[in-house]
Amino acid sequence: MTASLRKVVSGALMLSTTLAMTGLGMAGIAQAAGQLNTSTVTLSDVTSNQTSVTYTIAFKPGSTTPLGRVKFDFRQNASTDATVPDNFANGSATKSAVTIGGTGDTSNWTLDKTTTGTLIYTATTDTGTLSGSPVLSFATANVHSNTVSASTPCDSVTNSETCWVRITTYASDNSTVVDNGTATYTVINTITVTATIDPVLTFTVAGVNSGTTSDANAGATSVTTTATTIPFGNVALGSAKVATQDLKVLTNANNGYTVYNKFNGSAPATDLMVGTYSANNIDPFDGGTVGTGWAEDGGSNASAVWSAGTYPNGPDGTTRNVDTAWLGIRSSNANVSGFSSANVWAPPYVGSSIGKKVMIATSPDNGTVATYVSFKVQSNAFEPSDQYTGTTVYNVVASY
Amino acid sequence: MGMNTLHSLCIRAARLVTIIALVTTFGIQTAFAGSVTSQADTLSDYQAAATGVHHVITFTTATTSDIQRVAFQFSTVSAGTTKPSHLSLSSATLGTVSGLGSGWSLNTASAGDGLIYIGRDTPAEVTASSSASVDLQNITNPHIADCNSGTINLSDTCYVAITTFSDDSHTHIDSGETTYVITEDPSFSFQISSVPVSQTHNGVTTTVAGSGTEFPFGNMSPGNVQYAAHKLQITTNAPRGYTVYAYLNEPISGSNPDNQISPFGAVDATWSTPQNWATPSGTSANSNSGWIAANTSDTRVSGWSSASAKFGPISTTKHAVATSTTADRTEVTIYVSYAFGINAVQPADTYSGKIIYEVDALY
Repeated sequence: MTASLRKVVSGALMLSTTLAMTGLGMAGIAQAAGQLNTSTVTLSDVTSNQTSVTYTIAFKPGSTTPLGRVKFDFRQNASTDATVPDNFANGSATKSAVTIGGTGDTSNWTLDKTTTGTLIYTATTDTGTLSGSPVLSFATANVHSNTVSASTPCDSVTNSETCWVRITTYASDNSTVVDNGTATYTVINTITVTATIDPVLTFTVAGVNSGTTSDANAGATSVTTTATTIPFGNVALGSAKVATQDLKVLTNANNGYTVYNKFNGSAPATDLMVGTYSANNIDPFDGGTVGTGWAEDGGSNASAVWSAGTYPNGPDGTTRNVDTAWLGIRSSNANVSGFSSANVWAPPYVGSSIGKKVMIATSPDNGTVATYVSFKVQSNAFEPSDQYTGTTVYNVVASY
Repeated sequence: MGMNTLHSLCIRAARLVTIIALVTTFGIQTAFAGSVTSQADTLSDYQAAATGVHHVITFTTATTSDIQRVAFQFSTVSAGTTKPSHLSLSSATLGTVSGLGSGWSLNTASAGDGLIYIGRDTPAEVTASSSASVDLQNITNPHIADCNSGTINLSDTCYVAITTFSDDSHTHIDSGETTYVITEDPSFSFQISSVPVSQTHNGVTTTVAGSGTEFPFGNMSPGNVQYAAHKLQITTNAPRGYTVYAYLNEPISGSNPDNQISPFGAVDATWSTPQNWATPSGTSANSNSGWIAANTSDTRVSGWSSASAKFGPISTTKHAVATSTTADRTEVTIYVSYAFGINAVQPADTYSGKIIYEVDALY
């Protein structure tokens, strides 16, 4: 065909167009059923194979024609056959909400769910003219969503399944098709996230310098300690000395931890601290009438105020090595009962059990806040001069 | 009369004949040009890009006249001459012609311009109101948007002009135009797949290998952070695009349900203002002591146009990890990377949760 012929064709078309505009040539332009647009399918739960899913299908009509019926066909493909997605079921489906242009119209529609894979909404009164391209929304509850399958699929994808909803709208006679449209929805297999956080526990003991008031209820320290030594040094008659250690625990133990303290030995009266002459010893603090022992042992007043005693405000024994020198212990940890008042001390534990609680946490601890465990020693005139030593042990028990 | 004179007279005579012929042609056009009626183009397959398609073009003649040629101009617009770009007529063949007599053959010499015609050696009369049918075969359909490039639906209306000629070139008798609508089924392919360890996407290097159904972050200790990623492959013709959301169906929790991982809570971190990874800042167990975060490589997501190695919080709130306002007809690959980190006070436990991807397509 030559260029001149194309010009003739074009000219003829222009003539035809002119005629069409005057109403003589439009009859031959085919007018198909309208097409819906802005169609979406939203699931209340996109997890596959769920029993009570609400499918909300929304769309805009392709024309203003009043609608009397809307049909939704759930299919494995867009157009080729009528296979329903695997396991999809609508036998228990219930009408949830219908809106026309954002206005509720639920009561005007009835739901036919008798055919598997098909939901049909029929209006008691048609929608009227749908001017302005309103959004029509139909929410159907209690639909059983389909499964994800690579073998009998809507698609061949492994972990998700994209299926189709064919939408057909009908005029008020409920049979004349007005618009068609198709939309997709995707159900998925969920992705499981797993992680194991391993138990962690770090226990740190550090020394505290002399002259430091780490625990106000213990008072300023008299000596410098290290992680492994508590050197009280020379203890003058009637003069108490205080030593403190800094304890920290870092742990992610779910229920926290407990730090116990004990002194090695089997008998408190003889083994707490022993002199070079083995008959000489320092006894656990005994506040006498003021204290009744550790709270964890059921004492109503966990510890005793050190001021009990006869000389001067210290050990009250008058027979050597029997309450003539005391060693007391206390903790700054608020979770350990009985030590919230100033100068309150308890007798260190000596024996075969795990010891006494000096540090408690009921949840994980990032190890930034210290517990101060202090020791106080004092003797009276009846305590033999000697060099006394003892060994104290901390035991940490975590609860996961 | 010399030869030159004779030649000159012949030329003058020829010019006169030509002028007369043109006037006559114009006169024929004026006198007999009409509009075909009942014109239609019925396709054997309306799917976009379908091959081997039959276009059965039918029309009713308006004028009793000899017809030697019928032209079909396929175009993108009404009264146009631009061929839909993906329409292929070059291999077209002629099937049955009825209502126009016999002797027809197909000429595709101008198929590249969208113009093909049937012709015959000798004109023959066709009476007015004859119902004609021409079966044009082996045509490849246009693609969506070849004709109505400004629209974004899954159908496209293209045009065919029909013109009958009494001779083999210029003298047209009747003309008209019809349309055919190419359609396309909605499609959406969404593939989730794993990313191996030690791969870097959008600045995040995986430390554990995930799968399409599991992210096993493994054993972790305080201060530790692990990275895993998903590869999302999306192809769709949804004309108004789509959004893929990621969220947790419930907080990631331990076997002790009180133990929970918090959404990424670094300073100023939101999904639309992602931040660099930071160690969880909480000092109490289960309150910002463990964080779950995500990164998307989709620069079309708000806030992620330049977010290499940055993270936003992942929670039960849906966050877009991939989005498009138009069809992605060519596969788009998006990497969604996840970070899972803890500090010292996140309780030791075995944690699990579920990530969900939700796909919302808009047709």
